[in-house]
Amino acid sequence: MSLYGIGVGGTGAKCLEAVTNLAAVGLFADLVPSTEEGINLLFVDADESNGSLERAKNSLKLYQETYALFADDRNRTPLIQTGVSSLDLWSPFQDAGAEKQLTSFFSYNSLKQNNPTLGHLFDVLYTQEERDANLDVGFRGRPAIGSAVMSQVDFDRLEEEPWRTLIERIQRDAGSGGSTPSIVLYGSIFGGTGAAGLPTMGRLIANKLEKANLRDKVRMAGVFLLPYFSFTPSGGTGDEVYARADQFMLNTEAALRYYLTEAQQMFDTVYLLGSQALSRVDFSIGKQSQRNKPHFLEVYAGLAARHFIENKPAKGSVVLVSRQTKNMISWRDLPEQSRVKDDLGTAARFAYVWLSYIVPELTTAKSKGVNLAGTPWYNKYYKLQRGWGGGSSSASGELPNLDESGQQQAIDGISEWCRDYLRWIGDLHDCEGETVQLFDAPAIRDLSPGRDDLSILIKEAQPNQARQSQDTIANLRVKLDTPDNLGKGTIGLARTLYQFCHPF
Amino acid sequence: MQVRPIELIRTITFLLLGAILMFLVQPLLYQNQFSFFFIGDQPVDTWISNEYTPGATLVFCVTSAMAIAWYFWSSRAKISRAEQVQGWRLTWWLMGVVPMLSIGAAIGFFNTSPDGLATLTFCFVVDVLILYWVSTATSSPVPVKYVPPLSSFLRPLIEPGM
Repeated sequence: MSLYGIGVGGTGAKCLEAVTNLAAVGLFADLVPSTEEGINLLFVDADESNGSLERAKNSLKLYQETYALFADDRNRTPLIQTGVSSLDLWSPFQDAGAEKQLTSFFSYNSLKQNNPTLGHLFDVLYTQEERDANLDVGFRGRPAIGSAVMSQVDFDRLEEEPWRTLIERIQRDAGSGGSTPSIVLYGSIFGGTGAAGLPTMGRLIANKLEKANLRDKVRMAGVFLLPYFSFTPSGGTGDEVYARADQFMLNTEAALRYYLTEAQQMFDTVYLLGSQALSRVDFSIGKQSQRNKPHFLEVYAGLAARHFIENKPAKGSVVLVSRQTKNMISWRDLPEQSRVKDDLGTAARFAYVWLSYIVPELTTAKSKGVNLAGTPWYNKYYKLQRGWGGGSSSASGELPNLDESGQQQAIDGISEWCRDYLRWIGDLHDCEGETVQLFDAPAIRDLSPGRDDLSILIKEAQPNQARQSQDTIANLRVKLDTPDNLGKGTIGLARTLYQFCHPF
Repeated sequence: MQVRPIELIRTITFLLLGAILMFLVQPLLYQNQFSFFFIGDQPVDTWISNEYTPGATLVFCVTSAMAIAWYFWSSRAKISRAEQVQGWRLTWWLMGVVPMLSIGAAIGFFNTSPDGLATLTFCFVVDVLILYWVSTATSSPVPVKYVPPLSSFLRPLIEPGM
């Protein structure tokens, strides 16, 4: 069944970034169709240049570019096997023009003139600063502002993209029979866009599906992130309207009360995620400077979608997950720990070896000529140049040249994805106040040549001492020199390397 | 230690071929005075038993030892970067010098026949090439399989597709 992930606000975007990376390592391959639209992601944010949003979109773009590289045979490796389609970004200000203020959005001046009572009510509900605040940085952590804007969205029309495409795809999937599409909405319920957008989006989508007689053919979940980070506003911003971390709990209480009283039937299942330790992040009004690092809660959020699709919790059920030790996250604290550790770990090892060993060897081969003694696996994937005699495999005439533009593009594409994936993995370990014991983050980030031991990359990876001593790049170098490789050229090399990167 | 049985078997096979060449074929060539293999200054059988065989034994033992030592030593190689192979190249060449020295010793200490000097030298050089170079070029452990010269050409002839 197809998955439709809608990320509302910056936190929602970070959750979709996690979904993208979980899909890359194969954690959705057994749950969604193996088509290019197995997973469909839509970003919702008033702040179109939000840093977290931009990063998530970039990760998705790299995913799709790498997905295209493996088009010849997707079943040969679990790496980037799932099609993830982007429905891009929708902003409630899409039709608003240059004036992104509450006063412009509600035609405040006309309202005051033509309906003074409503105008006075407007004055009561919103301060002068809130009315005049420029909302192109988002809803500034004020759910009241966000929900007012969001409520004006007319989903009954749904002629505009990307909603039209989203609904058409859901209709197609729901009508095809045999599978139930899953919609998962992500967002924080303590901030601005998420707190405003989640209930509104949820209600409007549910209503639209009801009218199209699709609601009972679609399952919808909400993954709500409770406060898990905090910040201190920097002095002298010159701007009175901004998100206040000290109001997060209040916002959360109000949002949860709303769901309890008004919206229990909206979602089939609700996942609540939060952390007692609030990670410190840099203060930002919005736009590109609002670029909070990935958090391990977003991994849980991505796994919640997997749980929702696979387990189909009963309507109204409560899903609980907890960790063993306060302020620490280890593999044992993750759902399906063995599978998640294997998949995330294999991809991390692959990315590490690709960047620290394969790319430097290929770069040297391209610039200085291949040293077959030093790179014995080379002639299994690339054609040797003249003068090396019969050093190639029997099918050497079919092997591509390393210099070909297609091969170089593939190397660059895979390398970009690997860098982004390792960046995400590394950033997960930077949660202030939390000890994340999934990977050795400094080792993951250190791509300098010379490190041979791969056993240290994954925490708690190798209980067997004998196997641990063989878990080296030197051994991988030998394994890559195999006649049973998974294809030729860069893609074959990547696939073959991936299969050997499975942790013991 | 990365030992593949097939490589060890090939190494032993080349050593056996070398032994057959050195202790059966070459003596036959001298006994039958075939072509250039002419010893005229002393009885051939005496020369073979007193001068050729001891020299050949020396060359065979030293060269085989170097080939086997290379095989087991290099099977412990942990090469994780291409540039680390340079050291092994130097090692291979240094180990290859020892059999050449044994040729000098064999001829210098055992051969007294001027007639046999040239052919004996030629035979021993060929023997060392087979025992050391061909065996290591075709059967070195995988981490160093292309270190011996021309191994990238020879090895696929023995292991097509590998």
